[in-house]
Amino acid sequence: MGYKSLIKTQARNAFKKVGDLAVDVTLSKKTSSGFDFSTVTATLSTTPDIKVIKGIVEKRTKSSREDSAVLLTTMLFLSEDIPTPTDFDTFTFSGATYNLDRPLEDDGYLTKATLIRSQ
Amino acid sequence: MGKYDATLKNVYSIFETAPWKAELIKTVPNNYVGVSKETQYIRVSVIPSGFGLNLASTSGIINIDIFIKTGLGPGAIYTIADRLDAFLVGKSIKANNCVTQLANSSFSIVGIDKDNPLLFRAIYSIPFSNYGV
Repeated sequence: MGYKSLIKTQARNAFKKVGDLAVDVTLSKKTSSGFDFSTVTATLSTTPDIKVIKGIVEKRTKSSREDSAVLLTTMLFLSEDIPTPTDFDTFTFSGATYNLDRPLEDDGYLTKATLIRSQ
Repeated sequence: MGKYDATLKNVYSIFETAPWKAELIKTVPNNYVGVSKETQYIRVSVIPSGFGLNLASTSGIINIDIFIKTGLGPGAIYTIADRLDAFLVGKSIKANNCVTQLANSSFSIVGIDKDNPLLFRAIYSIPFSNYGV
């Protein structure tokens, strides 16, 4: 087994060992197939690709963006679970739905994502 | 339909025509995501920031950000600007109970895009007047 496979296996094991510290996150992936200038609408895929992945909450921050409050949640995911994150993806856990914010850090094994929702 | 919506639709209609699509210049509006992998595209912003002849009219500027690949010289910007001129300069669009008239254009070089250094940016501008009744 090479080092890459070894580290990926250990990362998966770590997510199993932390038990309920890793929460179920419903990842809904939509893609944009273009913008129609005659109807002035963006066309998104109608059938999103939905799967449940594990995520570990690292921290939550309440922040202000101009005149609205937002909740930022930094979470750790296995990189193989979110290989191609886009701004159209939504993450649902603990009864709330988040979008992807910046920054997104991916070392090939773990992805640290900042999720955002209005509060 | 109000004057702002009508202005937007009139300008946008140019970019939905078959001749424009045949130019093969990736075109998106502002507030749109989905161009992160593109190495050349334009972004259209219609800004009705001026006053019109009457309460149903408006005026302003169309700003088009032109993005090309960094490091290959500015030529593509000039080519795209000329193609935009062919479709926009001096054009008059009568639709949505109004007439949108476009004037002459200009552009300025911004340089390497601060959000994506792989792209080199210019801004092409063309004033417009929208006459409603």
